[in-house]
Amino acid sequence: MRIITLTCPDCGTVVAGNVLESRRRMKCPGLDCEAILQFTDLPETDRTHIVENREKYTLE
Amino acid sequence: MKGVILAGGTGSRLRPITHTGPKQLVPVANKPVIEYALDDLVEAGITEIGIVLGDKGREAIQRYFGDGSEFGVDITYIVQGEPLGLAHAVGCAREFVGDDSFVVYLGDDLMRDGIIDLVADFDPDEYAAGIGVQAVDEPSRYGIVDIDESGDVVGLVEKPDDPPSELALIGIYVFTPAIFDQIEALEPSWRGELEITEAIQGLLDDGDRVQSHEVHGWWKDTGKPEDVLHANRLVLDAIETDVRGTVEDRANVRGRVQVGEGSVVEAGAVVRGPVSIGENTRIGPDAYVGPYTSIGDDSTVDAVHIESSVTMGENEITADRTVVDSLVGRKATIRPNTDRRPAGDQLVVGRNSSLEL
Repeated sequence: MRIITLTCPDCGTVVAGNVLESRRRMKCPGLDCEAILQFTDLPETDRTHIVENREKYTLE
Repeated sequence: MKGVILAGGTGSRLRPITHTGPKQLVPVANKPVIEYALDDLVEAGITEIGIVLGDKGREAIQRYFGDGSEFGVDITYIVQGEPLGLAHAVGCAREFVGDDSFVVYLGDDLMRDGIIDLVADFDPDEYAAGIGVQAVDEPSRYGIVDIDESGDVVGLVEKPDDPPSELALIGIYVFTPAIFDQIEALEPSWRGELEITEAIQGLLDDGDRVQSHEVHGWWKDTGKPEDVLHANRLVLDAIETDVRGTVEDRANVRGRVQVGEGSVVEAGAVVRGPVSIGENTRIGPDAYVGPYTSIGDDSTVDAVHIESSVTMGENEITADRTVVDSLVGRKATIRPNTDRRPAGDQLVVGRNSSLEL
């Protein structure tokens, strides 16, 4: 299973793609970091993969 | 080499303690259990550390460690989100790890002897992975490794009916980046998780060598209240006396006792070590604090007889009762009810609390 992540350009916190997919747009979870991270920050191929395999990235 | 500490999970077996914080910050001898993992990594010479966080308590863990500089390390936080398994957590660390070998340490595990030998023994040119194992009495309850005469792992099996050995996985691993291709090849198991044992089996199936490293000192998973109490007992067994606060002249203190800064053991109080008392805590004149007890910071303890217990901090424990084998969450109070009418125990008990009166 591909594990896709995004690194916050401001603080370096790494966020799993499935977190971004579920929130779509979120404040960086790094403490005191004000950056906004979006699902669309991921490359299109990664986004497509996560969406097409959504059930694998979610606990029942 | 880098270090990856896994600090996700829901902590469901530690409720209600984990209703308000992550299990990895539950204190053992007045130190969060995850800090023991970090200390072990530092002791093994590893200072670049990734901490994989779940949804539970991730801010609290970040607040505790910050960027790691106060602990002599450089920390990168990795947000896993849903607990999709150990292999998913490890996979999320791929970018952080890069081309290095790395240690994976479960953030709610404690190991007496640390990981210096495990790290020193691992040769990434020879092995794709190394796994910490220990002989156990009931191997059918654990993930078990099968090894050959040279100690190389030849197979892994989860809770086997017919165990090939008594060597159980204890949740400490060293990996080369080869593990990431195996994780990518995994599918979620029947429980919806990516299993690290399957990834390791994939290494074996592809002809990679996996080293076993037998750990002889105790190790402890702190997933349940009784485990926290047991870990506390094991850690206190090895403490040295360290009094940074005040022990008044007529306090009756024997055995190995740690007293944190700003704390006072007042005249008349009885303390029998091994005991750890945090910072800014008052042990009053009518208190008895017995062996294998850790009293947290910013607390008042008086009138009570308490032993073999852990109190997490900001507690007021002043009831004339005997408290044993208990885990008391932060800001919980146990006060006397004398002179109250109607007489009887008065409780405010949250979901998942457990009282034996």
